[in-house]
Amino acid sequence: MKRMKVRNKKENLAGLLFIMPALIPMAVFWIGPVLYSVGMSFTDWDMISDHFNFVGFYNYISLIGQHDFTEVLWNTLAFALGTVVPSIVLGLLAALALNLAKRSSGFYRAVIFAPYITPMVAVSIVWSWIFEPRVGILNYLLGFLGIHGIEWTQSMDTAMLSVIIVTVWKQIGWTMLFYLGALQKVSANLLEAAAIDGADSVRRFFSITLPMISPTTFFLLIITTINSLQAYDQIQVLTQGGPAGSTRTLLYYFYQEAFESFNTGKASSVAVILVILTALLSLIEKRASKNSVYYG
Amino acid sequence: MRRKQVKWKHIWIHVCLAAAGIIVAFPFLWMLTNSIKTKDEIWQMPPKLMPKAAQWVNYQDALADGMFYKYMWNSSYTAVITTAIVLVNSALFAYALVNIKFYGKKILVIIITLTYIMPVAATYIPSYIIVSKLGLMNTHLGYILSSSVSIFNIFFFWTTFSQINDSILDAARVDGAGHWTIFTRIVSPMSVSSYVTLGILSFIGNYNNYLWPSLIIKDKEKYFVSMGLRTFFSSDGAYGMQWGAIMAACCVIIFPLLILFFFGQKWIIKGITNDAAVKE
Repeated sequence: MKRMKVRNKKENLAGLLFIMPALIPMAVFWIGPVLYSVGMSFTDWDMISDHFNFVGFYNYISLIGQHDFTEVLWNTLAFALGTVVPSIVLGLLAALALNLAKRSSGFYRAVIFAPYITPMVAVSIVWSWIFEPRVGILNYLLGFLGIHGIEWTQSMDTAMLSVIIVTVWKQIGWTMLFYLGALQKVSANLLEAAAIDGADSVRRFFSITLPMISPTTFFLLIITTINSLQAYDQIQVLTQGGPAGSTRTLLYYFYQEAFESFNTGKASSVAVILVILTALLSLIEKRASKNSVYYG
Repeated sequence: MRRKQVKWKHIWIHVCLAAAGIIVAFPFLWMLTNSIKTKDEIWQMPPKLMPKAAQWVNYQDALADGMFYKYMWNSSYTAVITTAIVLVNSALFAYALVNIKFYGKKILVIIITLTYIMPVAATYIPSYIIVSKLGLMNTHLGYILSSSVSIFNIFFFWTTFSQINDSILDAARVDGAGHWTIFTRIVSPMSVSSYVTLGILSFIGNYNNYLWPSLIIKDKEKYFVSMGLRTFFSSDGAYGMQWGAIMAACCVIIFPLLILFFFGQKWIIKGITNDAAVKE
């Protein structure tokens, strides 16, 4: 009994020593700040003056009443949906094709993954030149298909689409890689047995492969959603939230309120709303996956 | 008959892959060829893929004041230090979660799971204040310290370590090995590919980082590559007056990453396709 206690103490001490190096920065730069943000969201602080007042839910209420904030919320959801779904679908398609190709698949895999490792700022600058409405290569190429005069980042109608294209382009390699791993683990025996039973390849994909890789789909759904809610670099380079606020997402709005207008209190409440939205979307995705994710 | 069908299927897949490859790689190709075009060639309509003669002068223009070397040095060394820190502290943390029975572990698991989905933006204002209270505003140390934890790394290591067979660890315990010995001699050597994968990914993430460093670093001398590039892009008032030099600068800062990727590819793919980060 006594020996047991000594052992527990030793284990506790070891645990503490092992977690400390990460726990300290986590507490100082993550957990503390998040709680602090929640507190500040109930104030009217401006980051410079010594005094601030508690204003209760004023920041939240005024945000919700604001017309352009509703637009920011819609932009955020549109951007999330517009990047998450194509990133996952195209990543899966790329992985399936690579799996079937076998020969020289390593080369294609490297090419498709390459955008993921490059700085978003640099590739956004390159894309901004590709999107250039008059002399950009994209409009030139679209001209052959009879499509003319798209203004891309300079029009309210297509600016969001432009930002989405860049984001998806950069992210496909990432989702593809996770799917490649998942596909390797799909049981070949099971697929063969189904083939012998007469299931064609479409049927095999939907009744065997897709369910078996569903944990990866769920994981990627959460990860890409979180990423999309935090997108900043590409918006900053391509559109700065414009034109007329059409690409201003929650995070971008937060940045402007916090570090351009110094409305610290209001910006904190935007950050808290961002946290709530992230949690909400993750929760919805978890709910939705409950019946469809297969845990082997 | 059947063989023929299989052959056609293969051709189709290769055609699709080649098309996808060209589309994905095109922006890089465009960046490269535009970096050696003259101003007239860049603005030329219809556009030409290749310039008549390579204009290396664009690279000279971009690198003339030596600032980009400075940015690359700043980004590289801070990324190396930050990566080293987050590799070690994440691995230790994950080891504790998997192999040590300590008080408060359950709460800790809940906290880091919540932190995992927490948008980092929610920490910016307070972290900004903390960095400035510590007197580290406008220093690389301020960036390194404030970036010295990675929840993604912790999760990744957590999954890797929990896949290690218990019987191996039990055998070591019976021989009287403590946690430190087990961690350094058994668990870590068995997880080398996770270390390399996360090392490369963390380095890339820090090297490319833009928003957070741009909040706490003010002097141009101390800029990271993304900030330097962004400033270079919007300087001189008019966008696009210096496209050749801008494209050249993009090529220069991407180059080290491509080399790293070339050598590290195998590890990243092995690390990720082992599905280490997928945890239910």
